[in-house]
Amino acid sequence: MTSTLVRKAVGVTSLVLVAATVVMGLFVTPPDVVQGNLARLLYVHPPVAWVAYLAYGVTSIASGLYLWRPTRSLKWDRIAVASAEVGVVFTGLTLVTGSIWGRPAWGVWWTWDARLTSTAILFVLYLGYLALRRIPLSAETRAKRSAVAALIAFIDVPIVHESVVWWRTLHQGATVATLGANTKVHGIMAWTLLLGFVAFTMVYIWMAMLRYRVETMAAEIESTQLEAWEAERMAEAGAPDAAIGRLLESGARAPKEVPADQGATPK
Amino acid sequence: MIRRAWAVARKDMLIEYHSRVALNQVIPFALAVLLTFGFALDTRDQLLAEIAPGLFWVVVLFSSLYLIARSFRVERENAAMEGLVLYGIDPMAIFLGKLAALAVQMLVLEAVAAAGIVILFNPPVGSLGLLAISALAATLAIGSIGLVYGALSSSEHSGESLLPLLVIPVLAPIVISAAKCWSDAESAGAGIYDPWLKIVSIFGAVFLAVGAAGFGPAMED
Amino acid sequence: MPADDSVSFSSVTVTLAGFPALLNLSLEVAAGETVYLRGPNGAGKTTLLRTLAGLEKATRGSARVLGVGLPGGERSLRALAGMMGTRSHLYEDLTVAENLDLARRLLAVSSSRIDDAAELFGVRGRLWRQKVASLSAGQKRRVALAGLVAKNPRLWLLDEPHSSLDAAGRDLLDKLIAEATKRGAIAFVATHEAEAGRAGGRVVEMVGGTVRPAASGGGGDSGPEGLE
Repeated sequence: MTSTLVRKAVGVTSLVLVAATVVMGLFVTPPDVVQGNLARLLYVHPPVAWVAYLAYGVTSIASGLYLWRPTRSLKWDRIAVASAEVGVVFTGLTLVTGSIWGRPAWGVWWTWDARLTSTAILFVLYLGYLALRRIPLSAETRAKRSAVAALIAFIDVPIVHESVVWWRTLHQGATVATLGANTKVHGIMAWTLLLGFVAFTMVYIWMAMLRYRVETMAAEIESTQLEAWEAERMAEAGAPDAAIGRLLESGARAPKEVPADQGATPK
Repeated sequence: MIRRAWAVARKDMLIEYHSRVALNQVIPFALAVLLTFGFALDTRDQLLAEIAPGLFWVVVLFSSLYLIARSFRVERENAAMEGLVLYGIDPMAIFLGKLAALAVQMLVLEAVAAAGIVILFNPPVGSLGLLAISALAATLAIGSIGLVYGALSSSEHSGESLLPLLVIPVLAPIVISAAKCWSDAESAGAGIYDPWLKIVSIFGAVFLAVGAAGFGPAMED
Repeated sequence: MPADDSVSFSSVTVTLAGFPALLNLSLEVAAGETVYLRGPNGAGKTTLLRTLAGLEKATRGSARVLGVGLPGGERSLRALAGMMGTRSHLYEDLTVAENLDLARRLLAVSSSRIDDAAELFGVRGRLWRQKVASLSAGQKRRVALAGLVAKNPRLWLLDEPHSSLDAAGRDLLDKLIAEATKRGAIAFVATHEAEAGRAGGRVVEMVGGTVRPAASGGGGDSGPEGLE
């Protein structure tokens, strides 16, 4: 009961905050000197990217807690998947908003900048994690395997990031200056950016809570089924005679024979 | 444990000896891909020589995925992996054994693919030592990560088609650093003090450790 | 307090992909006993064997098998148990000799022991250098049994052991189990055969993932009557 209330409160708060961010970002803040209205993406893109990293961080911690025996509980697995799914959505949004920004700012949708490249790899990495979870396995086995995969991803992310940074910098200078560098963030813009961070973080919490709830409900259905099975399987199956009669009465039949001479010769 | 790891490695090598899947299927596949790149890119010699390092590791990575999938397919037939587990052996022994057998096959694959690239695309080769050591480090990394994800995705019904999606993004750092090693190895002054060799070696060690730590929990349900 | 050579299950539930293959199963078996598990398809016979082998984990309840606590002791149990399931655990691409040589290396036993076992099940001669892929189902079963007897487990777990074996093979296997249990081993045999338990041993009827209450505790007295 209380958890439903909390969820609703978080939901309403996050919607209000997002609405406030929209109003502030689109109407209240002035356009940037250099980038004009394009700079308004500043209130969306960095907060969205932050949420993606936050979500994966939560997934990693929850996975670690699942693997660690004293705290092993399927609850952590549910938190891990809930957070990872939201994380993938937000990584996708990060890439999309980044592209929307990049096209007018740099003239291209995509560039092999270190941050972009590692975000793209991150996206695919966690798509794999979610795909792995879809293999039909018992809840415990799935939880354990997913936790191992999540921890490997956690170790991999900084390695990917470092390697991509070296890859870009050892040969040529940083490709494109990031937007933050030539945009002065101050006053009302800074507050709107902060609001964006808070709003999208709340959205993350809300979505993850809903997703967690779905996982919990699925597990509940499974455990009520457990009891149903017990009763059902103790009862023996009814007499098969009637079914046998029905099945043998009719069925698939070979196609009607066509006389050989008629079938073979064209008319 | 070393004795049991050896038994597992020996078993996988014997399976390859009898079935010749790596030799008769995977290595020819790698060569076919190299040829395809040649005509798909219209045999522009300069371009082919330039992209040779990346091409090599892409081909090796994709071909290795077949070897990894094969390594698990033989265990799935007759539930043979379960048989191994029923000997009560440490998963680490299974990991090391399978990794050793896989690495040997991959190194042969790499040698053939590298020869193919040098002959077909004609990139300059400055330092064989740099090529060889970086290939060894990358091989251990690809093998380790491949085995862990092979175990993670193994099930009666699905998994084999999932393996590439799981493995490729994780190994992005290896592909980057190993390809850079090859690029550097093209210049005449290159040697084993190349900075990218250091990087690929560290990555190789990290992925080997990750594989060794992850394989047991991944395999035992 | 159960001794270290017995099996004791208390309210064990094993869930496979959300489905309770074993449900609140309790069972006590003493050293030297042969237990015939009978019941319809899906009764949980195979899952019970796999749990005893340390291949499945109890999701609820606990058990003590040969002094090993479950859940938790699965790996040490695997070393003590010998399982012959419906799958042969053999490598198709290896010869009979190579498969058994792998068993020798992993069990750390002498090659003469492997030779003896192979001889016993008649896979030493013509079949020895053949790939398992070319063997018939019964021959594969004989190879698997040779590996099992080389291991000489304290817990024999046999799933439909008679299927695809010829009459001589069946007699040999029955004799083997009788001798092993005489020496204090425990055998679990899942079977559909009506005559199971006639030669002694205890019949446990399973249904719905647990022991059927009416038939539990029978001691070799359950005749073939009342079977499907």
